[in-house]
Amino acid sequence: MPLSWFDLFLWVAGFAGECMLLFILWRRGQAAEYPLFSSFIFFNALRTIFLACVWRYSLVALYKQAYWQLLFVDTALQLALVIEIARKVFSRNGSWRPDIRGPLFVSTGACFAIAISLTCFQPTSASYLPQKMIIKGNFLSALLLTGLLVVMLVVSTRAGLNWKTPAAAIGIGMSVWSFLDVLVELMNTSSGLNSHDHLNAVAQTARKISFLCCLGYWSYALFHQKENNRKLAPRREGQVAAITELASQTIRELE
Amino acid sequence: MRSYFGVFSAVVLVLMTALLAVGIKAFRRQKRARDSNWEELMRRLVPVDRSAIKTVALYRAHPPVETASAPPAKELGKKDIWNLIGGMEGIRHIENNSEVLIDMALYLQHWYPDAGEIAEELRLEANRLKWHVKRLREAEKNACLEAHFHLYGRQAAESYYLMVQKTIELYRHAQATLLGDLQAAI
Repeated sequence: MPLSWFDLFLWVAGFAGECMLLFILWRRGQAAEYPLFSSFIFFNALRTIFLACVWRYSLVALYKQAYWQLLFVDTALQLALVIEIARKVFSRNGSWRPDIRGPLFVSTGACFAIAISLTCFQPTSASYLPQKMIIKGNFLSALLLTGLLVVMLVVSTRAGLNWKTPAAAIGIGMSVWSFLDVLVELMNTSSGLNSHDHLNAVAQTARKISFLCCLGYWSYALFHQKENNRKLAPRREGQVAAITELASQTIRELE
Repeated sequence: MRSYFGVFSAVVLVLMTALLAVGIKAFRRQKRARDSNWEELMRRLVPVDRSAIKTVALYRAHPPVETASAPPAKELGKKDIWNLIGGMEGIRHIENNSEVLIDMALYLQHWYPDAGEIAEELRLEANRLKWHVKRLREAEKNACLEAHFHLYGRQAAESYYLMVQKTIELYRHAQATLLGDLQAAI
């Protein structure tokens, strides 16, 4: 497995970026707030170490054994991350907001249906079944991720719900990355994961660069997010409760 | 195989472009709400006749009562409601302002996260308002606006009035320095 200096640079930069982002998440107290996002980044850092060992000691057999597990965990974490963001945006006091449930679940269902249909019709030039499964699986997860994030963004905007800074930063980064990932998977569809194909090499490099850019964006956005944890004084809390009571009374009067 | 791949790529690219366009539009709306400063919020408010809205909104809760000392108060007819609200133009202004009111509550949330309770109530009230506005738009399309305006228009005015009251109360208690600007604008 010969690697160019540029490939090595991307690898090292990616690992450094993941470590830096984990540090920022921990330092800013966001690791506990976004456990799945932190796990996703941690998993990627671990995978980088694992791949470095595979490359250094030529553990190709081990890599082949672990490939599917790594791919499965990666995809599962990405989809779980969407649920984590959705919970931050759409749930309130532990339950989904009632006015959101319908549009969100219908749009999510439509998103799954479109992504699965497109994957079924996806042509591949790969000759072996495992290669075909990798191409289709990756394409499906990239499409789903893009679709679900856009659906969440649109449904929340229509309902007047605003994404708070960390969720917005994570969601936007994931959307851009998954969008580019769909294009990369489209290139893989054409090349059929042939490692000698020039298009395949371009696709792999584009994927690494786009993830590196996302790491940079997440680190910047989460590091610079405003402190927003000032609580109302108890007296103010009482006043807000009084306003709510007054408003409810007025509603009852009007009804 | 090549031509099939070409068609498939074109379909995926069209879908991705559509998703990108929709996503960017929603993102810009989110960003505008998140990053708005006070001056921008005030600029986005459209002047609305507050006393007229109040008259329509409170009419059902406090209908005029005829007493021996006071002359019989005028009842609000369909035409009066149309004139007080300002027709569909007034409804559009109310709808626009309802979005700004939510952004105003979110603006306050930068300093007082707990004010999110009121922002959530405003959001739900704005959804009710939008429901009535949607009915009015459908009535306008079907050329039967005059027959329905007094019903949905009045309910939209009630929702808007409630939103204004909640926002004013919120600012009175949490950010009194901006209350003067707010009261003058809405």
